[in-house]
Amino acid sequence: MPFLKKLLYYGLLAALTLGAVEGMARAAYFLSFEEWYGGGLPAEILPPHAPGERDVGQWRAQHPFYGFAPRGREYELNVMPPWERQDDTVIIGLFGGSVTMDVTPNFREAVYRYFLDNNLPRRPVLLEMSYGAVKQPQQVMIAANTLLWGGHFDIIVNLDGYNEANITHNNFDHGAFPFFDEGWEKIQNLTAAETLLVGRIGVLRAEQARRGQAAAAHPLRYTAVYGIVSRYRREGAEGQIVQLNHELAATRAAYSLEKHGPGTAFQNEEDLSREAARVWYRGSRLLAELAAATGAEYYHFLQPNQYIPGAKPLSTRELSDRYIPEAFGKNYRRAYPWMVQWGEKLQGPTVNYFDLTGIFQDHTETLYGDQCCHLNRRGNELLAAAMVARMEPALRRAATDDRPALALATAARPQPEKLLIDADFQVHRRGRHRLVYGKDGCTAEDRAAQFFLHIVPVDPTDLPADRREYGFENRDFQFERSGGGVINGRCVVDRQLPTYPIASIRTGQYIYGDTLWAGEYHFEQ
Amino acid sequence: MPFLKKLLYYGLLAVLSLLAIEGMARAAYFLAFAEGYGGGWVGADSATLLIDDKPWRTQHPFYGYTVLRHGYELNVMPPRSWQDDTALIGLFGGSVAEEVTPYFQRALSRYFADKGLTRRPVVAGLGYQGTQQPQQVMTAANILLLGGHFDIIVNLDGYNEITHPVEEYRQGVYPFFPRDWNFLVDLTAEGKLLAGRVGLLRKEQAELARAVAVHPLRHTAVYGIVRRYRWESVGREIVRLNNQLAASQGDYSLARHGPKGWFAQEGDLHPSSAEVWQRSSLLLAELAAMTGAEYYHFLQPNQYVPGAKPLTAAELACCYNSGGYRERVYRGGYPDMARLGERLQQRSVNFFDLTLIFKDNRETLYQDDCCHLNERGNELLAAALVERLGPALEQAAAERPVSGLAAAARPTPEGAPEELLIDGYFRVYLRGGNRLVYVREGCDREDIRNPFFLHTMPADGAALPTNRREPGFENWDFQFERGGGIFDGRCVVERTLPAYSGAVIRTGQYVPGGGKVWEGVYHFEE
Repeated sequence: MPFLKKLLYYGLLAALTLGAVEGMARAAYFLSFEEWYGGGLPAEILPPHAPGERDVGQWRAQHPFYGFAPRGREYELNVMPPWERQDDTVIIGLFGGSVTMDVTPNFREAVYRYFLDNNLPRRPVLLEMSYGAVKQPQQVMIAANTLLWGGHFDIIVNLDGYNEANITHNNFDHGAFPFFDEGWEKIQNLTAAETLLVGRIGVLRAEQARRGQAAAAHPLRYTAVYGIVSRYRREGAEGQIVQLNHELAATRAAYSLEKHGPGTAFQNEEDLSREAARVWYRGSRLLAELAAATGAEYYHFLQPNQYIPGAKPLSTRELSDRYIPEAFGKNYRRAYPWMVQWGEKLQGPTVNYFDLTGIFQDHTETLYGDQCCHLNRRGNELLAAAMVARMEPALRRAATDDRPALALATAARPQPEKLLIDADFQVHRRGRHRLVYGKDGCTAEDRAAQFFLHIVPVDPTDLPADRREYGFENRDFQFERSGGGVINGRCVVDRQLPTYPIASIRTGQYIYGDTLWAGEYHFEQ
Repeated sequence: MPFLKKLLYYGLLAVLSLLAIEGMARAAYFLAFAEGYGGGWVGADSATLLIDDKPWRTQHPFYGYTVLRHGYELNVMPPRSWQDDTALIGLFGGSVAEEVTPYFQRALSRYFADKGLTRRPVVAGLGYQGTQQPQQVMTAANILLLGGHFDIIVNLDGYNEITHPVEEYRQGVYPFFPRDWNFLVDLTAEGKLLAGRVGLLRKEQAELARAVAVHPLRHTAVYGIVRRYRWESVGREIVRLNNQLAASQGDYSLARHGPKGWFAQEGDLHPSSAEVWQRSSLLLAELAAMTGAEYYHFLQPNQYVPGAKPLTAAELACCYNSGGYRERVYRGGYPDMARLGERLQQRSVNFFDLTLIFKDNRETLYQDDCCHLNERGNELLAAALVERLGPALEQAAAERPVSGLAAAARPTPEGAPEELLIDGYFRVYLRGGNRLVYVREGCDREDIRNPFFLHTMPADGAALPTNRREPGFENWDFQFERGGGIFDGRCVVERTLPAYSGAVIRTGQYVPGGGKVWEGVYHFEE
C-alpha cells in the first residue's frame, strides 16, 4: 500500500474513532445533563450563594454592649453624641421596645404640650432610646453606656413588660439563653468552625472560577470529550460546595455556647416566667440607680396589653383579628402576676412605678393595632397621656428646680455659641455638636412648617450607605415633635449634629413644597 | 566474589550512603533552623493571629467579648447569689487583675483565718484579658441583673483604659469600643474568605503535627527537614494572610468601627479616656451600693509611672521599653487619671492609687514590658489590696442586711438545703441545686495541697462546648486556694455546677504527674 493511501486510511480511521468517541461523549453529555453540549460550560450551575453560605441579612447590626442596634437607628444610637446637661433643657430618655417606639411621637407631643400650657421655663428634649425587640438588660446597658460616654438625663422613662415576658420564652424555646437579646444566635458573627467552612467554600469557589476561565479558553473546548470531563469535575466541586453549605447550615443551627449562651435549668415554663419577672424587676432597680447617679428621676411603666385578663373590653375588630392568646398572649399572662408582685416592691424613693395594664378598662373602642401588643393612633394618644399625667410632678420639678450636680452628672457646661445663619430663624452652633434654631416673637405658623436640614460631610463615606448617592444626610424635622419650645415669646429648638467632619449644612423651612426660607453655612476645615 | 560477600558489600554501601544522606540532612537541618534535629519534632504554633481557628475570645451580647477559658465560666456558670456563710468578692479588671486573682484569694483566706472571721471569702475572678471600661460596668450590671450578688466589688484597672483607646483610635475604631472590636464583628466578605483560608492552613499544620508525631520515619532528619520546611512555609503563609486580613478590615463600617470623628487628634483622647474611666468607677460604686456591697477601686501599679519603682537590671532588660509606645502613651494619660482619681475620693469612693506601692522595692517584680507582675509582684499586690480592704472585709464577714436586689435573686429549690452526693476523702454536698460543697473535717495543709479534678458529663452531649465533645465531659479542675478556706480545722471549698441537666459528676484529687488520691462519682437523676 502506498504511503499516502496508508496515511489516508489511518487518518480516516483515527478521525472516525475520534468522531465516534466525540459522538458518544455528546450522547453521554445529553444523558447526564439533559442538554446538548454547546461548547464551553454554562456560566453558573449553582446560584451564587447556596443556603447557609449567605450572610444572615438583617434589620439590625451587632453592638458591643447593646447586643444589637437596629440598622438606621444604629446610626443614630452610635453616632450622635450624647446630650450633655444644659441649663435650658430638660432631657428625657424614653426606653423600651417597639411599643415604646410607637408611642414616642405622641409622648413627645404630650410632654411638649404640658410645657407649653404650663409656661415652663426650660425646654423638653426627648431622646428616643427604644427600638424593636428590646428587653432587659438592654435598657440598662443603653442607659449605662450613654452615661459613660458623657450623656445626661433629667428623667429616665422605661415602658416595658411584654418583651421581658415573651422574648424570654421565645429564646428558651429556640434553645437560646432566655436573658440574651432576641435572636442573638442569628446576629452573632461566624464562629471559628463556621469561618473555616466559609473559607473552604470560598477556596472551592475560587477554583471553580479559575476552571471556568480555563474552560472558556481551552483549545479543545468545542469537543464534548473535554466538556464532559470538565463538567464532571466542576459538578463534583459544586457537590462539595453544596455539602459544605449543608454542613454550615447545620453548624449554624446546632447549639454552641457562643451563639446560644449558657444552658438553663428551668423546671417548667412557670419557673421561667417567675425568673423573667425577677429579671424585669432587677432591671428596673438598676435603671433607677443609674438615674439616681445623675440626679435624674426615674419612671417605670408596665405596658398595657390586650391579653391581660380584664384589661380592656375588646371591640369586635380587636377580637376578630387582633387577639390570638395562644400565640401571643400566654407568656405575658403567665408572667404578669409575678410582675404585679415584684412591681409592688419596686415602688419606693427611687422608682416611680405604675402598672398601666388597666388604663383601657373603660374603653370599648378599637385601640390595638395588631395581635401582639402595638397600639393604633388613638391607643398611643391615650397611653402617652396616661404617662405624662403620672409624670407631672417630675416634669415640673425638672423644668423649674435648681438641679444638683450629683455624682455622675457633669455640671452644665456653658457652650460657646456661634451664629451660622441669620435668616427667618437664627441658627447658632452650640459647642461642637448642636444646632440651636431661635426666633423672637414667633407664631404658630412658624412652628407648623417643616424644617429641612441637609448635612454634607467632608468625606462622603461617612454617610450611611443609602445616602451616599445624594451626597448629604437628610435630618428634616418638625418643631413640635423635636422638643421645640417657646420661652418668653422666643421659639427655640435644637438638633444634634453627627460627629464626623462636616463640610456644610443647608437648612430652612418649607410648606407644601414651597421653601419659606433657607440658609447655608460652609465650615472651615 | 561470593554472593554473601557481595551482599555484605552492597548492604554496607547502602547503609553508609543512607547514613551520609542522614548526616547531611542533619547538618542542613541545623543550618536551616539553628537547632539539632531531635526526632519526633512537632512544631510550635504560629504567631498569635487576629483571627484563626483557635480564637482566644468569643463575642458576648453585653460585654463585647469574653475570653474563652473565662468566658465560658462567665457565660455558663450561674451567678452566685447571696449566701449566709460566704463573703463574695467580685474582682474586676483586665489581665493584671486576672493574674493576681489566686494570690488575692490566698491573701484573703489568710486574713479571714488570722482574724477568726466566721464567713469564708470567695473571690469571683471577673478580670480577663484586654478588658477596659465600660466592660467592667456591663459585666457587673448583667451579673446583678441575672440574680448574682457581691459583698464587695473590687476593681483593679487603669492601664488598659489609657492605652487601649489609643490603639483603637489608630485602627480607626471608636476608642471606647472593646479591644479590636473590628476583628470580632461583621467581617467583610474578603475578610471571611481570608479567615477561612487561614483556618484551612491551620488545619494542615495540625495534620502535619499529628503525622510527625507518629510517622515511622520521624526519627530521620531526611523526613524531618521536608516536613519542617512545609510547616514553616505554611506558617509564613498564615502570617501573610493574617496581615492581608488586617488590611481588608480597614474599610470603615459603623458596626465594625463605631462612631468616628469624636476626636480631632490622638492627643485629645487622654482627658476623655480618664473621664470614661472615672464615670465607670462611679457607676460601679452605684451598682455596689444598691446591693449593699462595698466598692473599692484600685489604680494598678505600672513600671512607666515616673518614680513608681527602682527597676532592677533584670527589669530594665525585660520589662522597660524606654521611649517606646507604652511609656509614651501611659505617661501621657496617667496624670489625667491621677487627677480624676482624687475626685473619686472626694465623691466618697474608696479609691486607692497603687502606682507607687513598689517605690522602695528593689526586687524584680515585673515580668514583661507591659504591666504584668511575676509571682512575688502578685503576692505584694494582693497583700496591698487586702490591707486596704480590711474594714470592708470585717464588715462583709459580720451580719449583713439582705438588699432589695439580693432578695430578688432566684430562690434555691425547696427541700433539703444540702444533699450528700459523695462520701469520699472529702464529703461532697449539693447545695441549692447547682453548687458543690467539698468538706473535710480535721484537715490540714497536706489535704488541700493536691489539685481537685471535677468532670461533669451532661445527659445530652450537645450541651458540651465543641472542644469537649470528644472526651465527653467538661473539665473543671481547680485548686483549693481558689475560694477554699479552713475554719476550725474544717476545709471547705465550693464549685458551681453548669446548668445542664441529667449530669454525672466525677470528682476527687490527684497528684500532678501521678495518680489519683481519691475519687467519687455521682449520677444525677434525669
